[in-house]
Amino acid sequence: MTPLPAWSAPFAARTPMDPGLLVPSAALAGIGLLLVGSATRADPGSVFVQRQAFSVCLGLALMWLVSRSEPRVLRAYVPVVYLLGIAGLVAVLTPLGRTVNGSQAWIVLGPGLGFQPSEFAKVATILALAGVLGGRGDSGRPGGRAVLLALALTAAPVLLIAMEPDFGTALVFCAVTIGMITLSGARMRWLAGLAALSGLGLVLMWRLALLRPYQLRRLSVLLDPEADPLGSGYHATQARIAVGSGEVFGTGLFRGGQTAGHFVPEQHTDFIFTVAGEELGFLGAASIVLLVTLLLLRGLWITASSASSYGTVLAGGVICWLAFQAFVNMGMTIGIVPITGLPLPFVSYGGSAIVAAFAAVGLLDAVNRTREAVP
Amino acid sequence: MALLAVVVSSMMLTVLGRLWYLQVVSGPYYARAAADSRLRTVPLPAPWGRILAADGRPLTADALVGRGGLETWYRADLAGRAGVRELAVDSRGTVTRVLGERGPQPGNTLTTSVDPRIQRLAEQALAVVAAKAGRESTGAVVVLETSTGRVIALAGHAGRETHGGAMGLDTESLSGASGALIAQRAPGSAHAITAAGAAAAFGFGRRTGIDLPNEATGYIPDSVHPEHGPAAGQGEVLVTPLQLATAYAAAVNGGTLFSPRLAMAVVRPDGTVVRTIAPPAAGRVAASPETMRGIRHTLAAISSRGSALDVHGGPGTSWSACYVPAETPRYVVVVVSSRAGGHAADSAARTMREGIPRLSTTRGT
Repeated sequence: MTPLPAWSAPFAARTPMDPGLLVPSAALAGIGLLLVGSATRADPGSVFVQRQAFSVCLGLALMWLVSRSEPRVLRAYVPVVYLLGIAGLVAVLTPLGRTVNGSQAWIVLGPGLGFQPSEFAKVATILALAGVLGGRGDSGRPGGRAVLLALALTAAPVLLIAMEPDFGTALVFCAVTIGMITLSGARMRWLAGLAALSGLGLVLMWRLALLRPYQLRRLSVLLDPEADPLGSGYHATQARIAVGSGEVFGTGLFRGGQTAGHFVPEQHTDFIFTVAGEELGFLGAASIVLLVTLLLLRGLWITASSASSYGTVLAGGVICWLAFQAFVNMGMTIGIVPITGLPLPFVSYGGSAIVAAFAAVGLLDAVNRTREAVP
Repeated sequence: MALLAVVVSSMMLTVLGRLWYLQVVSGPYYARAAADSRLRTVPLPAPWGRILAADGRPLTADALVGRGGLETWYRADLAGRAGVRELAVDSRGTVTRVLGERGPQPGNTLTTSVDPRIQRLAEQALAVVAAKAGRESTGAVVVLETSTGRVIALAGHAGRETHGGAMGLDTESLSGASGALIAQRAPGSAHAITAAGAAAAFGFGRRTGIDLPNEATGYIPDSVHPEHGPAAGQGEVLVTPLQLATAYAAAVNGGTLFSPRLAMAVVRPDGTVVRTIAPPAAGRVAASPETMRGIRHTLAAISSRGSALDVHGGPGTSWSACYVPAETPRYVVVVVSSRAGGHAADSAARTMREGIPRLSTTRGT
């Protein structure tokens, strides 16, 4: 028998990917391509769609590759992946990093060839946390040292990302960590301590005025976007107008007047959901929400039915990430969450985010295979 | 696990609920807001209608036409309706498309009874008066058609530039109207019709109702209006040249006191008549036939004799009036000049009396 590569698992080689994961994520990416095309149609000669299509192909390939891997084998590479992720986050703060929209979050290797280390750090951190929290302790639940290690492993990327600064992404890490510790079955006192710590951190941020003025304005604008429609509220107001004006059926793809007129800034990236809202209407926007929900519910089912606590924590971390990010992204475009720079997974333009999200789905599928292999 | 499922589901339901509220419940509102933010409306001003003299050419008497004149009085007819052009704009305000356009509706044309040649004659006569009298003087010339009450010429100023140079201002009546309307002079020895008992009968003391703004009322002392009580009496009767002209017209047209009109008709740009305008009868002169005959005779006799009839007013004011032609009075001419002595008004009246028949014989050539 020919020895297979270490990351491969023979039991899974012929099984196709779980359609409950593949169909919604691929569908979202397909819709994303159309919406990116619509959002950038007014810029002649732009190659956003082509590049996004390339990213999607890359993401699908990586997803397939990751889904073939055996999670326990994957686990061996976690320290390397995590350190690479941290290295990327450090590198972005050096002169290698490029600042876009106020965040030094990009590393540009060449013209049209750049990436966002924080996206890959999400995957790396989730893998690392799963390795630490995933069923090491005697009782099957992580002990205090594991929880503390997990917190330390999260703190590093969170601090690095906060220095970019990109608080939206940092918040994703926090949400993922809280979710994974909860799922790991850690004792309630750890969770309570974590909650207390978070509260303390928030109070400190407030008291030490770590929030910048624009962040405070975004918070106040959430409550009353009409207060300053041409200033801080502009983004929120225009996003709301674009989404609301779609009404039930939308103006039709490539026909949105608000989209064509570039009334919503960043509409091909973070505000892609406004394009769906205007051009596809409630039916289209709700369909996107539905696809995201299907993917998340399928992921939750995989989380619940995983044979190992490692798989549970890993899949749960992915779900926390995608759920939080999708909610915050859609929420900010419709005025229920303050505006932060987070992309809509699978849909927003952005190669790093696309590839990372597909890799995460690959992880879910890999966890799913362990269930099938060990009935 | 169940907790996570609940959290995820409630997050997605929140988004769905909010979408429902924004797009279905408030959708029409936001659709309107979106359309408003993309739409720019540009008004297209409508060209004003023209004001034509009796010969069909544009009326050039600025004092009658412009602001404070016919354009103000007939604004609703002349202004037309502005059009609008709707443009699609992007977030930077750049026009991307013309969505639609409703063209402006030009204003209607106003035809008048003003005879441009008689009007010019009146203005020239007035200019001569002004030149003689110096800068302190104001004056006015009114020519009415006796049988209809139509205004044939109306020259006079209250601070406007005229052919002979700027005349002095009647500071009490600087409102910009024609001097013929607002110069209120005691008519002096035109006693036949301004004698206290007759003044009210001839329509003095109230506006003639001519289709020009800022008309003065004149004044009748309280001895004429006994109901006001004797204590308020101020003295002389004050009449405007226009009031006098309507009274003189009534003396030869059988007693009809017209409310004079310059306008004859409002005509659409395509030529269809919107409405015709005729001077309405404001009343009938209640004076005795003897009085009327006396006036007629006096004015006719004097004018046929070749010397202006006169009528010297108080110090600093002179009047002169005549019928043209004297035998079959078609027009009545009233001239007033301030601070000029009698001769200034007389010579202006003579200019009119001699000039109008000449113009009439050449009419139509």
